[in-house]
Amino acid sequence: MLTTKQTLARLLLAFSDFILLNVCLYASYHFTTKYGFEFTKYSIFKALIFTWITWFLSTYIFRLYSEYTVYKFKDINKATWRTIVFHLLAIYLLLRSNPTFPPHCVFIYSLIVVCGFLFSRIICIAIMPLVKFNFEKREAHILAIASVGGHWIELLRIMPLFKGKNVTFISNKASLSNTVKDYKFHTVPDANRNNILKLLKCIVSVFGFILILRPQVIITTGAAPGLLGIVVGKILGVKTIWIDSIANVDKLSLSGVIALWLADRVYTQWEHLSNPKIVYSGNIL
Amino acid sequence: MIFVTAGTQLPFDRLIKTIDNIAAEFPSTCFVVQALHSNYKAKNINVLDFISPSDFAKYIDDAQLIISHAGMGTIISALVKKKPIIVMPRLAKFKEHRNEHQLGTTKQMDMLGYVDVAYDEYELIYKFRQMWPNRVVPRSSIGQVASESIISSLNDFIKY
Repeated sequence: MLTTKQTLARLLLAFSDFILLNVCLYASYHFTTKYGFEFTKYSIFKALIFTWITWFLSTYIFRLYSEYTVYKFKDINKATWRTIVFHLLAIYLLLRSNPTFPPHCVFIYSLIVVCGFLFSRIICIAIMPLVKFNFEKREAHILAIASVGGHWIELLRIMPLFKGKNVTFISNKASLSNTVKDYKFHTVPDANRNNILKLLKCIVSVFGFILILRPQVIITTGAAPGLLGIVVGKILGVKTIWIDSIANVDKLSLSGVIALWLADRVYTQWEHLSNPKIVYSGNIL
Repeated sequence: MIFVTAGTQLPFDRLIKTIDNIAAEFPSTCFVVQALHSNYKAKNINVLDFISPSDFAKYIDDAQLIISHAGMGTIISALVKKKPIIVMPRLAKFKEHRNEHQLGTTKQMDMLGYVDVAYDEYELIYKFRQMWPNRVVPRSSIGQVASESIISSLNDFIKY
């Protein structure tokens, strides 16, 4: 369990970031008015709301201040860069929808936000060792994805891994929920390479589930929904694991090769396919 | 009872045709066959399109012998239940699968001694006549869950 001290530290981080963002906004407002642009009250209000919403969303999506993120330099790094890109993207979209917004104000704002977040994260890295989180006990929320059929049966073979953990399963056949009665289970539409519409439906569904469930780890044994999970996980900075099917004896599956680019770890079940990037550690038989 | 399963992705007529011929040869044997419908109309057996996961588990339980395509789902299910299984790979050259991975799986499973295999129709008939009904024994079996090594490796990676 988290102590009060740790919760306070995280709250403090979040609060200081929030203040920092508002200072960023004020600074860019100050610089822009210096260049002779007059803001209406309405546009100031709009900018303020925009800043708060993007901050809140990025906090939610990338878990900027969660006990899982703030513990490791690597995770802080991951979340920070994604937050910055998310902010820049949001600013760009705002600019596109409001052509009257002064571009140099937006430019200055983006620059200050980037510097601000990097600064805040350096402070985060600096003060975290002082708080001494107990990370042995932290519990990850795991999302396990597999299509119906062999992929699902292979996933069930590693059930001992999930024992006592907070796991949610996702597959594309509702009746499979019987096989994982003790866990949460969700269904996504089926997808394959040949049907674009179905694939889009599946993408939206997987994206939605990952946004709502916000797992810290995504583990999949394969096929299209699993690969989509890896892609979404990569975007959101989730730790992703791809286990290539035992059926792929001669070479990694096409999905596996794509996962090799995106996933944090790719397993093969055949020793002769392993290399420094593809991990072999026994098979599921 | 003999449970035959050809998977649900593409038709696998070579297997169904062979089973149809075998069923004609052994009229007293009961066959449960699952395969996608296609141009080939079986005369001696009744082909089911899709069976639910619970029915699938039941048929695996009841079967004395399983004949299947080289799908790992069926192979693992049979090995866990210690059921004899003959595997015949789908081949991409007959448009039975997108690529030739089932051939690789079959060769490897054969080499490691897990399952009985038949690479074509003639070998399947030959194997079947050899085994049925008196010499039906499972070639190997596996435990309920995966090996400790892969689970502990995954656990470490999730934790670290």
